Formats: sequence, structure tokens, C-alpha cells
Amino acid sequence: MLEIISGNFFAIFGAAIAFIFAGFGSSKGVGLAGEAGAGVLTEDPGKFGPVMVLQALPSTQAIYAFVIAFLTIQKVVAGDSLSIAEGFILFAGCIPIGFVGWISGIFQGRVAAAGINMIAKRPEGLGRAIVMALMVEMFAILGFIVSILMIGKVA
Amino acid sequence: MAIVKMNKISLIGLESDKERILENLMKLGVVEITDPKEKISSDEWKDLVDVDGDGESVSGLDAQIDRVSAIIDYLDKFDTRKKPLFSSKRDINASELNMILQNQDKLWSVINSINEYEEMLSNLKAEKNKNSNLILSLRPWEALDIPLDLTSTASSTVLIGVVPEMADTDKIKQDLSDTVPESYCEVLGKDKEQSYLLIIYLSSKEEDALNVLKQYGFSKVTFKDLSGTVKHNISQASKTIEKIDKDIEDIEKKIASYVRYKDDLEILHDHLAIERERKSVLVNLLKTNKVFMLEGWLPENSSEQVKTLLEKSSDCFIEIIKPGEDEEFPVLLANKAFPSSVESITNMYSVPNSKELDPNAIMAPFFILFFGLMLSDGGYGAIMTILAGIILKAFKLDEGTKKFMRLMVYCGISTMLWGLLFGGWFGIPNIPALWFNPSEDPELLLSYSLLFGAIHIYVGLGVRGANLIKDKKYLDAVFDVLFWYILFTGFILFVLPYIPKVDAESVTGLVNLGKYLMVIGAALLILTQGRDKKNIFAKLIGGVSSLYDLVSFMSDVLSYSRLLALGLATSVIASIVNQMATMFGFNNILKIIAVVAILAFGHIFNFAINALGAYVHSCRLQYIEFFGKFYKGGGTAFEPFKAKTKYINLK
Repeated sequence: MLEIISGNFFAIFGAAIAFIFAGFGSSKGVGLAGEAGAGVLTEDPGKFGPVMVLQALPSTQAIYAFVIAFLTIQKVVAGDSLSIAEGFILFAGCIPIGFVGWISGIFQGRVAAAGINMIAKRPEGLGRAIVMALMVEMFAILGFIVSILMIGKVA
Repeated sequence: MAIVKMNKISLIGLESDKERILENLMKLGVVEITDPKEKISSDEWKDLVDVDGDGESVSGLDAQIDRVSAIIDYLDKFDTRKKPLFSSKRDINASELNMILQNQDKLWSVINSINEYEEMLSNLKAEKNKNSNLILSLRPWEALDIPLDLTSTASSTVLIGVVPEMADTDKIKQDLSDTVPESYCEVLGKDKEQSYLLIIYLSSKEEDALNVLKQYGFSKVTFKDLSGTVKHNISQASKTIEKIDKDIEDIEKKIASYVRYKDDLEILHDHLAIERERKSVLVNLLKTNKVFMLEGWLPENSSEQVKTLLEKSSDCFIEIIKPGEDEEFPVLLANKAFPSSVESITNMYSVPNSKELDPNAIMAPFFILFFGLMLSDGGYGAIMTILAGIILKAFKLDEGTKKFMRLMVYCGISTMLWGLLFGGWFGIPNIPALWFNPSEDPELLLSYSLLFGAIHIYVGLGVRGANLIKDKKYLDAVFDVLFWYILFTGFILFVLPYIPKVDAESVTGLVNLGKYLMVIGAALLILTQGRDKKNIFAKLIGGVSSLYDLVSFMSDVLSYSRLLALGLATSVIASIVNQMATMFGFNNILKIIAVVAILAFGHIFNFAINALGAYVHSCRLQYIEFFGKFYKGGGTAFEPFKAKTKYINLK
């Protein structure tokens, strides 16, 4: 039992955490925005373009987490185990994007859904709707950068 | 000069010349006629003039336009001609237009007959529905082979009806034959909801029979107006449906034959739209019994031309004057190809107002460079440039699309440039980078991202200064721009050792300089930022609280870290796609197909999601971090009185 608690284990566990939680957030966010979008499109199918742009915005959290998970997994070389300390650093490095991505994905989805409802009434408000959704995205970006910098500490 | 200077025009002419003058103005298409609401409510003018207007013909034309455009949309479904990917307006000259308008009656009769056919179609479809419903309701009774209108004989009664699915039909049969031996019961069919029964009994025993049936929830079914057997009725209905289908097909063929009039209908539509425009502008005119008056805006450089042309063609009084110092005028942008490509992005935020500098020229290079840095893969940039270039060359595009495609070409080129610097081409490993590879050294790119951000923000502050100098507020320019520069520069130098990849020891001199600059800058700001407050304490408090802007400066600069994040995401995902694809190996044809499919799908997905990301994030950096420093906006776009058409260009 104790043998599996190695550096590799922590690294892989971290990659899983990063993607699972950020993936949750993006799924929920894109889902929320999609529901609002479908409602708007029944009234006016011509708005597909802007609705799609807004709906896609909360998907970036999962993409950032995917990158982090991938970079982490790459550090794990089969047969040659990382030290426990290194594994722990990688594990910790995965947490920022995982959790910040989770919450920010959900809230960005809500803002995007509200933005979609806004452009149903005022199509010229697209720029503002996107900017408001990107305000939430900022935190996922910061989480991503923090994760990148932390993972970079393990050579 | 990017914002075109406008002059004010006032025109007084004879009522009898009105039509001709308006037609000339429309042809010129450079005069915006303004709403005289303010003028008409002033005492001086109120009793002199009335507002012109012809609401009746406007609403009449609206109704006609609606009808024509509904028919055009309807015919669109039958139009089998290939539609171009990017539709553009056709060029029509005056004689062609006249020829078509002479045949207007023919077009209206086409419209009428299409409307009639439409109605016939909807009637036929209703009829078809009715028949299919009948078939559906008869289906369960197919096994019944006595005519539906036979409900009784001399001494017996024939009954059909249903019981709920859960009723046990064998038991019903048993019960019925026990209580009323002179009866017959047959189960004709059964589905998920109910069982279908035929029951025959001696009429004199009706009460007993019905009592038994009632216990099982039997309900009687009758088919009114139907005679003959069920099978016969079903086949009748199917025959009717077949005939209706044929009729529908015939009528649709007839409608399809009208598709050749679609082009002419589009011209008619635009002709009516022009008429409507000319009638609806009348509400902006003032009139007395004999003369009318209009006021508006026109670009300075076309003033002379408009004046001479109008005065030559009719007797009218025209006055063209420069706007007052503080007067806002509608905004028309005149930019070269490069800055004009980002106009739509600025306008999505707000149209600039007439008193500030047009931000497009200065914003364009930043937008394009940041886009390239965030997409960062030269291969994607090349594809973007080629695609947008082909679209620009091969299609006739309207002005807005053309500008967008040009922007895509510039962004593509910028992406290739960054691809060269970073060595990123479709995520292929080991391509030498001219500068450095960000995925090997993300911290270095983070530092540079922040540096680019600081430069961007400094330029934004500079534009604020330029705007203030343009308004001759020189002192404000010193207080609100120069002093901030001092503070921000001091701050940047002070925090230099904390920036990744900066050697802390080599910058100690700069840090000391930064300390002094910060103190000087802060002192100057405390003294000046509260200058519009009344007493000395309020002035000082205002000054101190303005230092909070240092925090927003810091968060603005950190916001540019997204340049690193998005750039890195593209290159890492591109290399993941390559790794996943090559995992299969190349040793047989199926594997090679899989590799190609994964490569194509993966890279298209990565390109699409990251190009979208680069676009919206580059927009955001302009809107919040850059425009926030200087841009007021809130202008109204110049909308000249001219022919607004949907399908054609009149020549």
C-alpha cells in the first residue's frame, strides 16, 4: 500500500484534480449559457453567431486545466519516480486552476447567460456582454498562470 | 484627421421644388437631416412653421414593403440557384430600373398569385392533416368488418367501444355471456392504452348488457358521417392524401416557376424602400404654406459641391456654417485601410465623440500585435492570412465584411511574426525560435507580457494628454498625465526586483531612483488631484484618495498576463494534438487515415477556440485597460440621407 504513495502518485492525482474540477466548472458554465442561448435562438435564429461566441467563453477553464494536467502528466516518467516532495509540488500546482476554474466557470456561465439574454433585446450590446464575461475569466487566467509557475519549479 | 469635420447646413426652398431638392440630396448622400424638435418648441418658431410629414404614404409603403419582402423570403425556399458564400448587392443602372418599374403591374400580379397559391397550399395541408388523423383513429378498428353505419338490426344492437388496457377482456366476455346469453363479444385489437371491443346483443336486453360493460369502464365509440367498412374508409382517406400530395406538388412547381421573378422583386423592394426613405424624412422638415426648411450636417469638404449643385438646380437659400466651439456633431470616420480595419471593434464599445481624437489609428497596432501574441502559432496565422486573403480577392464583399477580412489578414500576419519569434508552427517540436520558446520559459514571457501592458497603458495615458492639449487644457495635461507618469514609472522601477527573470542585484540603482520618483509623484498628485474641491482639506483628501489609482494601474498591468496564458494554451494544445495523432504510428493505411483525421480535427478545433479567445481578449484589453485611460465615446454616427437598399446598388 505504501509503495504507491510516491511522487508519481501525487502528480497524477493533482492532474486529475485540476481537470475534474475545472471541467465541472466549464461544463456547468457552458450548459447554463447554452440553455439561455437556445431560448433566444427559438425567437431569432439569426443571432446564432453572437450566442455561440458567448456560450463558448466559459469553456476556457477546462482548456487551461487540460494544459496544466498535460504538463503535469508529462513530468511523470514511467519507471523513474519523482520524489515525494516533487510530487507534492506538482499536486499543489494543480490546485489553483482546478478550484478557481471550477467556481469561475460556473459564474462566467451565469454572466454569459445574462449577456445572451441582453443581446436578445439589444444586439449592439455584444461587446459589453463579452467584456463582462471576461471579467470573470481573469481569475481563471490568474489561476492558470499561478499553476504554470508552480509546476515550472519541478524540472 | 480621422474624425471628419462637419458643417451645419440650413436650406430654405419652395414647396414646389421640394421633391426635386430631396431627390438631389438623396443622390448626393452626404447630408444628414436633423430632427427640428428643439426649434419647433421654441417660442420664436412655434407660430411660424409646422412640421411636415406624410405618415399615410409611409405606412402605405411599409405595408407594400412587408408584402414584397415576405414573398422574397418565401420564394427563397424554392430558389435552387447556388447562393454565394458572401452575398453582395447587385449593380443596377437607371434604365434597367425603369424597365422593371414599368412592369410593376406584372410583378404585383405575380405577388398576388403567389399569395393565392400560398393560401391554397395551407388549405390543402389542413385537409391532408384531417385525413391522416382519420386514418390514425380508424387503424385500431381495422379488424371490424361490418359497416360503421350499421348500428342495429331488427332485434339486435351493434356496439363498438373501448375499455382500459388493464380490464381483463376474457372476463368481460365471460360475464357478458353469463348475464346476457343472447350476446356476442369480440376483441378487435389492443394497444398500450385500451382494448377495442365489438359487442352485439339482443336489443331488449340492452340494460343488462350495458350494466355489465359499465363495470369494466366501457365507453362507446361512434364514427359520425362514415359509412362502409373501416378498411374501405382507410383506403379512401389514403387515396385522398395521395391526391392532395400530388396537388401540393403541382402548386409548388407553379410557385417555383415564379422564382425567375425574384431578382425583379428584389429591385421592386429596394425601389419601395427608397421611396419610403424619401417620404419618412419629411417629418424632419419644417414648412409654411409656400416654403419648406431643413437643417442638417454635412462634411466640410463636400460643402461647396452640395451648395453649388443645389443652387444650380433650383431656387433655394442655403447657408453653411461651422459648428460652435462646444457643439457636438455627428461622427464620420475617415481612416486609411490599416486603422479602418478595427473601426468596428471601437464602435462595438462606443462611437467616438466629435471632440476627441479618433482612437482607431493608435489602437490598431496594439490590437493586432496582442492578437498575434495570444494565437502565437505561425501555422495558424498563415492559414488565417491565406483564407482571409482569398475571400478578399474572390468575393465582392460589403464594406463591413471587407474591413473585417482585412483585419484577419493583418492579425494572421502578426500571428506568423510571433510564430517566428517563438518557433511555434502547428505545435511541431524543435523548430528554432528567433527569440525564445515560451513553453520552456513561461516566466520570461510573463515579464514581457507585463512590459507590453505597461507600454499599452502609457500610450493610453499619452492619448489622454493629447486630448487635453487639443482642448487647450495644458495644465490638466501636466497634472493628470505627466504626474501619473512620474508615479507609475517610480512604482515600476521600485517593484523591478520582484518581476520574474530580473536580476535583483543589478537593478538596485533603479530601485532607488524609483523610490524618489514615487515620492515626488505621490506628492505632486496629492497637491493637484483634489484641485476642483472647495476647501483645503477636501483638496488634500481628494489628492490622497486619488493615489488609489496606483492599485488599479497595478491590476491593469497584471491583466496583461493573459497574453502569456492564451499564447501558451495554443502552443501546448497544438503539441498535444500532434502527440496523440502520432501515437498510432504509420504502419498501415488505416492508421495513417486516423493520424490525418486526428491532426485535422485537433488543429481546426485548437485554431477555432484560440482564435476566438485571442479576438475577444484582445478586444477586452483595448476596452478596459486602454480605453479606460482616455476614451470618452458616446458620439452619434453620421447617418446621411441616402438610398438605403438591401439588394441593389443604384448607379
